[in-house]
Amino acid sequence: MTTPSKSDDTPSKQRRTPGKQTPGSTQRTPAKKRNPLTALQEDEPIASPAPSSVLQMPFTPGRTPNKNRGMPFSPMTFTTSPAQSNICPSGRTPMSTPSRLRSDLGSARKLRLVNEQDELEGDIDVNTADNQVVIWGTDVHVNDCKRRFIGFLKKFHLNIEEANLEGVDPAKPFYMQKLEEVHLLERPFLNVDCLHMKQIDKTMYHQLLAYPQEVIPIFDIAVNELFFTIYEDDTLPHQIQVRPYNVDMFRNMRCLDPEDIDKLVSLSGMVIRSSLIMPEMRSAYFSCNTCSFHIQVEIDRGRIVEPTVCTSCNTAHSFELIHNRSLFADKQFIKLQETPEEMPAGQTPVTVTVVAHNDLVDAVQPGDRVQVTGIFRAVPVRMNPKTRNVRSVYRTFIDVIHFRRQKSFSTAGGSEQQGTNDDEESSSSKFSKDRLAQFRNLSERPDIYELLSNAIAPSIFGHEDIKKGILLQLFGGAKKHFVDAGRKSCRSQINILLCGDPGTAKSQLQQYIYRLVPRAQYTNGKGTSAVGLTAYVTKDPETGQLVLQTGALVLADNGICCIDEFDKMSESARSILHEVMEQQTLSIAKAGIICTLNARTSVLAAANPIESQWNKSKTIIENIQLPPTLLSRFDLIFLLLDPQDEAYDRRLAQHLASWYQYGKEGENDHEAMDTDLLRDYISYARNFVSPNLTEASGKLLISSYVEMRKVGSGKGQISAYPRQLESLIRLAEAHAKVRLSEIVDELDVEEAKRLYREALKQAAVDPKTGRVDVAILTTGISAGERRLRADLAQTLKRHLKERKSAQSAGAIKKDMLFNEMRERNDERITRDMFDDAIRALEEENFLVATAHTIRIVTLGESNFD
Amino acid sequence: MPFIEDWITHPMTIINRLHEKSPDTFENDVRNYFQTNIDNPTFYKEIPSLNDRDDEHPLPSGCLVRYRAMIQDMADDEIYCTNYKVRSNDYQQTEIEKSAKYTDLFVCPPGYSVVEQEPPREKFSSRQCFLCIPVPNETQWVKDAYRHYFGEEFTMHKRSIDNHDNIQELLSPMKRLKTTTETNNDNSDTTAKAESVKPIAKSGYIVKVYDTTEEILLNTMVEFIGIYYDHGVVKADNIPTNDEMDQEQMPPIKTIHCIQYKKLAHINPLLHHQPTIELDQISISRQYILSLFESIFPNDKLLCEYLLLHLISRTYVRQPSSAYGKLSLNLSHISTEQFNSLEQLLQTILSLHSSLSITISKLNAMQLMPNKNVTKEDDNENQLMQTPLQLPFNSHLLIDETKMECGQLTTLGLNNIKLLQELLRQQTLKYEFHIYQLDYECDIRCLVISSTKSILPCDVYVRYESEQEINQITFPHFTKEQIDHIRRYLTYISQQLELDQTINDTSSDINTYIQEDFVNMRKQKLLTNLDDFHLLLVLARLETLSHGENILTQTHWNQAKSLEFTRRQRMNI
Repeated sequence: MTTPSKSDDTPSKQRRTPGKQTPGSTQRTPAKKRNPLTALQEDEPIASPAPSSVLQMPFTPGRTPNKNRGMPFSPMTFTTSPAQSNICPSGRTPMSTPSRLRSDLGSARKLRLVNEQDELEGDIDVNTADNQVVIWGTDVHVNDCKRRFIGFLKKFHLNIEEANLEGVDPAKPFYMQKLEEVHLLERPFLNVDCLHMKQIDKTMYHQLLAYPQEVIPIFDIAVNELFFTIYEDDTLPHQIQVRPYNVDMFRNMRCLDPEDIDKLVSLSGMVIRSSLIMPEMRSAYFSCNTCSFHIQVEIDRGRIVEPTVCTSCNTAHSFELIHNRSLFADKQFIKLQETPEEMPAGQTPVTVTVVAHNDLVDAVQPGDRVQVTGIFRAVPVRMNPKTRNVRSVYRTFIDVIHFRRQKSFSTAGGSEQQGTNDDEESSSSKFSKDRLAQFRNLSERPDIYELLSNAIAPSIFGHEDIKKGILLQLFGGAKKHFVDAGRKSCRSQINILLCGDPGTAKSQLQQYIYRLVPRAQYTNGKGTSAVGLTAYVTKDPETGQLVLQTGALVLADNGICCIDEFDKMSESARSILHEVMEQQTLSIAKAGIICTLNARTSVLAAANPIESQWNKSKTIIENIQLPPTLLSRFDLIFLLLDPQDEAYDRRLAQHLASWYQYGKEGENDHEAMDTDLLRDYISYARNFVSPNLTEASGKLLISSYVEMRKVGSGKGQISAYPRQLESLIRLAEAHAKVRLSEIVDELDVEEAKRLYREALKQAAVDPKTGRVDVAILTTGISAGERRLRADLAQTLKRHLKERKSAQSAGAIKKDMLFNEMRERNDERITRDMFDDAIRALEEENFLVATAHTIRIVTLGESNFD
Repeated sequence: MPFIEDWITHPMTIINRLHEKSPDTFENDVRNYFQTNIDNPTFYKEIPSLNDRDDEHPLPSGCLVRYRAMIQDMADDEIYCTNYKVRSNDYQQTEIEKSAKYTDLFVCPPGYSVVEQEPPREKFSSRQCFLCIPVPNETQWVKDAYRHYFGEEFTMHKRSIDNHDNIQELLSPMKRLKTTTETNNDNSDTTAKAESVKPIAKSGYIVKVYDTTEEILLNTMVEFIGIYYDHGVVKADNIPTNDEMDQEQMPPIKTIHCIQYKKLAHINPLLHHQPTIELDQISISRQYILSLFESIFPNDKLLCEYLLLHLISRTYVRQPSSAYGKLSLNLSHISTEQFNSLEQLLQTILSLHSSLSITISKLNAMQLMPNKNVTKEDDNENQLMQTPLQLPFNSHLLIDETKMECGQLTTLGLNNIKLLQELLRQQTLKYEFHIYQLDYECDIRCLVISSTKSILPCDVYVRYESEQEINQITFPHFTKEQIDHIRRYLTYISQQLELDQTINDTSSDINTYIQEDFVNMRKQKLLTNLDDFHLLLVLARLETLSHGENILTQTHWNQAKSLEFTRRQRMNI
């Protein structure tokens, strides 16, 4: 029944009869060696000693329970191989580091039972040729597995990119650095990313997945041996425990099925509830009333069997439980609920019970989004402990091995918060390798900008530039710090105002963005009060305490706040925005609460022109009618004008009608990009790309700004403030981010400039009057009209010249001239056209016009005449 | 059939027998066996229906039942072991393997005991669990008709529903209306009753479905046939015993282990018999309905037409933030008299109808958002609380805003209003799940009755206009047959989703025609808003469908246009 492992060169240690083993007396080295292996018998059904206690023994000899610790036919108590001795030279045992129970591995009732001795014979596969011991029922070669794991720890390097993200040295093996960290921080946990393991050793990875409760203890042993070889004199609170995470069969909770029982699974969800911490008895201490003989009984399958007869004095029923000498472990039940993103449409979220042990207790709070790695368990449900009614139903839960808190989208402030807790890892690892490669491929496409902007609100027709603007807003600028310059930080968020005629899909765009971005808020200006946007203080009805309730802007911190009907917002509410939109904070002083909240939000506002419809005869400023202080805080102001054009209408009608067809989700001429990819791409770019300006692009920016200032000085135009320079920089940076580029090129600046001009329809603005020439917006018609006007100007010029030669030079009455022109021309001339012609001539410096009269400019020319 | 009695009263005996015979093909055998029986209409009728049962006459545990229900909540999947062994208590210790499918408990024949043994991994399987309730707001005539067509003949207390009775019952509300004095009292009665029913009694059942399916979604209507057990449900997701979180008793919810299920697109029993109707029948029924409406709203053909289109509207394409095809209607300036008769009429002709009266105090007091409450640790902690807005697809909701007064809304009231607004705008309803809210698509036709324009956003607003005062509403006399035609028509038409593809074919005449029209209307400033165009398209589509056609023609487009422009004229838009 023993399982000797023979070896040719090294004398194999024959497994001793368990009865003889008194842990305290065993020499340390062999005990240590064997002991870890005995830990593997967690699967062992037979008899009392829980494996975990065995694991505890060698390092805490004093506390070793005095009892029979092996059983005659345990398949687990096999001996070690020579390989192990090589790794751990004799005498190198950490004296002061106690081991610790791993209740996460063995708390559940053991599911697999081995009843018969003869079965065991078959289970222990001793492969004499390889001299390897195999855990029964599995293909795990114990020593081989240890060797592989140590090899993995020593071998694995991160690539440079990842190493930079993690802030480690790419030249050294990653996990060796982690061990050093353990050494320095004395936090005896080693988190192992299973994806790393998969890269190095697929077999080991699959073994881990399939037999976690057998393989993880082997890992534990291996890592401890390795650690104490390197840091001989180190003392840790307890032995290092390996915590694997990120199993690549990353599962949706919904997909957990019986196949997964007892396997290692990773799944993500949100914590909805956690129970109180419960002490769970791991071993009970009984003392005999008669002779004071004491005995320690380990938990077995969730039960502690009270010994009936004292082995020392043979008295029956004399034992008494001594509570304060029994051992307890912390345990907590946590309920996880499916995250909204993972849910199939039309179904309700599923929940999973998770059991946390020891250190992981209270590691997560309700509301956290976590990725859990653990062992999936199933135990039968008993309707009532008293009845023997056996049910076919099984209760399922997960014994947690590793928690990872996931941060939500748009962790712009992530860099500051990172690294505080190693359970909380940077969200880079949120994306799989494939996804990252996908991002790279995408970013190299020349049409990435168009591709992404088309993916935004595909159901909305046209408005390409606005979509581009919103896209840049989603990406945001680069974060800059000017602490030295005495300024906190420079805003990286881009604010956009959509201003235009009713029915130009402003609200629809906002709704779309609201749905796209995880942290977005949507409010309606009309129904929003100042407190609704910012924060307000309420009195809790039960406790009477003052509670700070946050409003939309604070809730959208690091996200986007969509404000519809911006113009209809009350003045007081709008004034709140001043602080938020530039300083990105929000100060509150109310009812004894004075504080400043972060509100790093991008604002996407929509407004109608002051008269609801764009008044063509008014300038931009007159139409928008928002205070310039607020206007200057918007990086982009888009004018959405109804072009009133037949061709446009026709295309629009077609587009709309296409939605009215059953079952067809509208046509997409463009290569559609799915929303998830878009969302991931944006969040990746936001978090990890922070482009810098080059010299050339800097120069270009300056010249563009100067140009903008010039234009802005014209009548009725939105003038450029120094803020607009920052805007341009932000836009250029965002455009560079779209390409995942670390450098802001001139190309980016050009696009930023173009977008800025395009947004304000500056191309269509009459520089003299400041009016938007709506006709220009509809291409085609305007060209002809322009020619007509030019013709008219020429005719007028000719006429004036003729007139001048006929009459004496001097002031000419405008009305008179208008009438003359009408008589001369066959076509109908409107007053507008006439005025335009005059203006054109004025630009040529041919004449000077006042309110009612015209004077022909006579420079040196007239002298010749 | 050798054991005809057996298969209804003791289905498990048959299942066990099939399992003994051939454990390998067992699952197929069971399916086939029950399928053949269920497909036979006479046998089908003999299966007792849970919908017809009240608590006073419970069914014996372990018998086969029918259950017409709506999925109210979905519980987590459950893992169970498929097989177990029993060992005889005599010296032979013979072991028999039994199937644990379609049951929660291991059953031991006398003289045997269950072998307690950890089953191997492959002996586990999972089943889906749904919490089902009888379809909410099923109108009375639907229930009666089901009983009439599919009722069991051997019911303990035979409800003799012959044709005659049925007609009486159906027409009675209308007849009652003829005498005005009575009506008011009666109406208040009926509305009160309707509302008291709403917090649906815990008459739900947990249905365990074995074939994993993605087809069953929240709020779908399904007919289950399965084995009924009256012992409490075993909740597999409970946090285990002997800790403080688990003080709960077994909730009194009973289980059905589903053998076969059928998703119901509608619950109109009349259409189960005759799935289609002829074209001439359609136009006749259309006339019938309009004449019924006109008796309530004399001299207002426009309103009646809109009402009809509203009743057959249905969402058919969804886009983020918009749903196409819905037509919510807002009627105002109608008398109480008219309102009551309208509600009664709707109850008589629609298969799913509910009403919700909103006032300030009600809005502030009632939670309309279906929610799971995490803080409450009572026995239904994990159950979704049903609210009057959690309705099956294709239902009709009458929102009564006439009693609205001035007052202040609390946060709850405001959220309720927001919820209703979203429902009307996008046909989605938010559900609260502990830490986040989720939008669920729904398809509820909303009719808002208000004294002036409603505070809720409706697609169409019509003000009732008539010179004459309405004191008395007299419905034209219809036979039961005619009313059945109307019911069939309404359900049938709203099931017709497919419109011919011509509308999207750029070259088709109608498409060019519509485009031209659109361009012209834009020129004449008749259409300022794209939403108006959307509305016109919806109206044209519904107009087409209401005539039983499936190709949009110029006639219908023009009809829709004239309808809409007449309405606008009246509304002075």
